[in-house]
Order: sequence, then structure tokens, then C-alpha cells
Amino acid sequence: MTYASAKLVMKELSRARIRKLKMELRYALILLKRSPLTLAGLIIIGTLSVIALICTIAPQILPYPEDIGSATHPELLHCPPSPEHPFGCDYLGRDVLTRVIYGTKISLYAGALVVLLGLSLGTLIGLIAGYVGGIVDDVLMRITDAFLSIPGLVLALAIAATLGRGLMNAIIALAVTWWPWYARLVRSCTLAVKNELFVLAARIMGARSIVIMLKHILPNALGPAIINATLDLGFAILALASLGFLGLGATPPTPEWGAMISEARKYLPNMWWEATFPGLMIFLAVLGFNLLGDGLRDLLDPKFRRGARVWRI
Amino acid sequence: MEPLVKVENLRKYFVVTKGVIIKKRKVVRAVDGVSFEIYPGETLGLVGESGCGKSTTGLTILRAYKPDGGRILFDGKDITYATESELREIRKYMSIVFQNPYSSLNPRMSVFDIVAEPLRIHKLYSTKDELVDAVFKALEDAGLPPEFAYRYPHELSGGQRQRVAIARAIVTKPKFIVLDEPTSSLDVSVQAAVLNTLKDLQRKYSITYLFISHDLSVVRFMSHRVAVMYAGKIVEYANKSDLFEKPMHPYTKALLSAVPVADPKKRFRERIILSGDPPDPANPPPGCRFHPRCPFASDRCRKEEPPMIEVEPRHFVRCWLYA
Repeated sequence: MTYASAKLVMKELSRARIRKLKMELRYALILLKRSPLTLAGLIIIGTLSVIALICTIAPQILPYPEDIGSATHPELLHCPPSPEHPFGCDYLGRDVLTRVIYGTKISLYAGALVVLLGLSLGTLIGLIAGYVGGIVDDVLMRITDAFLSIPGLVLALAIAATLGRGLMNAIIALAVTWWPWYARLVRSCTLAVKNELFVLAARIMGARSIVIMLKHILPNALGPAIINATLDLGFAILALASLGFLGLGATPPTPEWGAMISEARKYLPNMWWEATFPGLMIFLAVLGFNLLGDGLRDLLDPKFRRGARVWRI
Repeated sequence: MEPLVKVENLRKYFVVTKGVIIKKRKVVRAVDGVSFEIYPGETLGLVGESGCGKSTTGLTILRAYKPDGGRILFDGKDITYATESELREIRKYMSIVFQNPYSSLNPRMSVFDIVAEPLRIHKLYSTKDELVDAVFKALEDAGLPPEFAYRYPHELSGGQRQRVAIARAIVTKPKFIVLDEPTSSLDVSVQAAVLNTLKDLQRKYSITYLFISHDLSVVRFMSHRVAVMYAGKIVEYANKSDLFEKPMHPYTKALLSAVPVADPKKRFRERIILSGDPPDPANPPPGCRFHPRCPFASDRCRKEEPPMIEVEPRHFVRCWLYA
């Protein structure tokens, strides 16, 4: 006797999956409505993401696309904000608005890459340490502790200095300092999920360890790490800007916010616009990710999910 | 007839370390020399109070734990120290239903995927249609309508979740299922329905059950034979009717006298009330483990551990009263 055709069942299953997703989205929307600050964070990050996307697809629609690189306009040196150049011009006469907008793309991509690398490595280490336990756990966690024993920015500076100047090297340096936090977080979540009965059930069914780790533990242990990653995006952008400011990040013509402030530092306070606007952008991006990350935690972590008031700075 | 599951002198100890600076190692003897046989198609009820080692026994037989002694024979094969890869072949013939249906289902998987999982692990299907058929058949057998396949655990009630767990347990057509207090977290009306489903399944597919419970009336309803456990040891082991009508061990007698009887005339029947608590499994009393609470304890009970005595044919008691 046949019950249903496989095709129909698979279609119905994917429909169920979409239904579940929709339900979760609807729930998120309800919570979002109650939390204007999260909404503000979402709007800021949404706008910045759209800007970054536009800069990737069509950088030529920026007001002065040639100013992204090392174009020089002697007649516009240090020109103050004006209708043509709302944010003024820098020491090479380049339009600060164009460079600040293009910097969004660099900072967002680089920040995302830092967090993604850190999250991947940390998840791998934390999952293995938590699931296998015993000596493996001890060894991996002591290595993690060793990384955490050096202040983050100092370690990042040392690594970036060793690898040499450049945006990619700064990203690697920051990812190396970032993964231990995720490793710890994922490990503790893994330990909690490991004791759930469905994991024991899978073992009794005869599932292999790798299947148990990827199918049963990872999806249930990753939530807090992803929330933290959102919060960390802001800090990663800030740290990248710090490295850039110290001359260990992006190389000069690249309009990276930190590097721009570093270059404009000499002309403060008279030519204030050259350093202020990149600084404001850093502030905006960090604020946006913090608001969003905080809101997400309230949304996804039941421990923080109480009542209507979810704002917190 | 050969028994499907034969357990001989099974032991499972857990080492517990206590203290921060000076580590004290304590050995908890959760299962300490348990022997029984379960014949194909029958149900062995395993009764005892919380912490006496019932669940550990069940999980060790399924080799979720590594035993510390004794022998486990499954279908004539010695699986006591089989490696995980050797066990994989056997695992499709055994499964488990847990007490807590809230923790035993992965919240990220649909009911269909949960029930299909054992089939996918053992690759027990050649076409997708076969997989779908097997899953829907298991859901039907477990008493769930087919549309439940597309739901997620959070959309189900406790009884429905337990039925999903049952469907997952029977989908590979196993010979042996450990039922680890499958109904004790459900309300009474749902309990009865789930128990009936389990009985029907046993009749239909001649599945062998190890039914673990602390509820004597449920055990009486489900089992063919009953083993009573106390502090890691079986103290009485007999056919259901013998055990319930002629209990011999003082502990069994005390347990049975605690079962409420729906008969007002029996309101003033003799009750054996036990004093004290079950012993600390890390530090069991010498001699008979029950002697501190036993109303009939003698000097011999305090010194020597009683052996399993066959008082009547197939009725075993671990008590000096019958020596």
C-alpha cells in the first residue's frame, strides 16, 4: 500500500519549512514593533548594507568616482563643505563624501569577513572540544585560553605588524584574536545540547559522530554565537578602523575610515571635516550593529526575552 | 525457545569525582550484577524506585554505555564489548522510547525527518517512495494522522510527541525496544491510549519490550514477567501473576501494598510502610542492601548478601527468608 508520492511529500515538507520560517519572521516582526531601538539598528544597518551593495555593483554613480583612488585636485585642497562637496575635500582635494560612502563597503565587507572567519574557526574548535571532551577538550581549551590571555588589540597589532601592512592582513590578524570567544561560547552551548535526549537517541539509532555533531548539535548550539557575531560586527569594524588609524590596516589610497582619520589627523582642528565624517560613519556603523545585535539577542535568546521593554544600551 | 535478550551479571559503575582541590573519587554502582532473559514477543517489566538503576540497565543493554562487567547477548550475539562499528549493524534491530518527549525530539527537524532518521542512518530504502511509505506506515502504526509528518515538535502535545518517538522507534521494524518510562510524563487518559498502542504494536509485529517503570499498575498491564530492582540489584524476578499474587521479597510486598486499590472494603488492608531512604548507591550497606529498611531483617542479612533463590519454578527471590 502506498501512502503518498515522494514528490508530493517533499513539496509538502518544504512548504512546512517555509511556514515555520514565516511564523518565526512574524514573531520577529511583533517583537521588532515593541523595540524601536532594534528597529533603528536594523534601519541603520540596512541603509549601510544597501550603500555597500551599490558601491560594489555601480561605483560610478558616486558623486566623484575618481576620488576613490589617489586622484589629486590641487584647486580643491582642503576645501570646506560646500553645495558641490557637502563633506568638503581632503589634503589631495578628493571629495570626502565619495570616500566616506565607498568606505562603507570596505568596512562592512572587512568586518563581516573578520567575524565570519572567527566564527567558523571558533565554531569548529568549540564543537569538537565540547562534543569529544576529555583530553581533546582540555588541549583545545587551553590553546583558546592562551589566545585570550593576550589583550585582543595588542595581539592583533603584533600579528598585523608581522604580516605587514594591508587590509587582508588586518582582517586575518583580527580573526585570529576573535575566534577564541566563539570557541568558548560554542563549546558551552555544545555541552548543553549534548545532554539532550535526542542526541542519545541518535547514538542509539547508530548515527555517526559527525552526523550527530552537524545535524543535531550544531543547529541547536549556534544561535547564541550568531547573536554575538552580530554584536561583534560593530566591534570588528571599530578594531579595523583602529588598525587602519595606526597604519596597520588598509594602505593609503584605499578610503578606509580609520586610515582616512589617520591621514586627516594632522589637519585637525582647522580642517575638521576630513576626520569628523569618517569618524561619524564609524560611530554610526558600530551603533547600528550594537542596537541590532542587542535586539537579536532579546529576540532569539529566551533568557533575555521578558516583557515588552527590550531596549538597553 | 532462545531468549532474544540475555543479560548475565551486568555491571555498570560510574566514577564521580568530588571536591575542588582534593579530588575524592567515588564509585556509584548503578547496576551491580543484574541478570535476566527476555523471550521474543514478551515484555519484561523492570520496576523500582527512582535512582535504583532501571534506566541505566536499559541504556547499557542498548550499549549507550560501556558495561563494566557481565555479558549482554542480543539474538545470540555477544555485544558486551562490541565496538561502535560492530554495533551499527545490530542497532537497527533495537531502539528506545524515552520518558521525556520534550527533550527526545530535535526541535529543528520536522516530524517526517525525525521518523525518517533511523532509515536514513541505516540506508533501509532504495527509492524515496519506499522511504515515504515506511515513514507514513510508522506514523499510522503509532496512531498519528499523516498530516502530522509536516509539523514540528513545538506544535505537538506531550502525547503526540511520545507517539512521534514511538513511530521513530518502530520505523526500522526492530525486534527489541526499551521503553524507559514512556508514559510517566503523560496525563492518565493519554497514558492509557499510548499503552494500548504499544500493546497493539507488540501483537502486530511481535516486538520484544523491556518496560521500565515505577508505576506498578502500568507494569501489571503491560508485562508478561516482572523484575523488581533495588539499589542496583534485582531482588525478585517472576511471572507477572506470581509476582503480583504471591510477592515474596519484603520490598516487593511493601511496594504492592502501596498501590491504591479501588475497593472501599479494602480500605483497612494491611500496609507495609517502609522507613528510611533508599541507600546511597556509592556506599551501599553491607549484606543485603535492603536490610536497613526491612521489617524482617536478621543478623545474617546485615552480614551476608543473599543469593538469588528459585523458591518456586521461575520465581526468583534475593532474600534470606527463603533460604
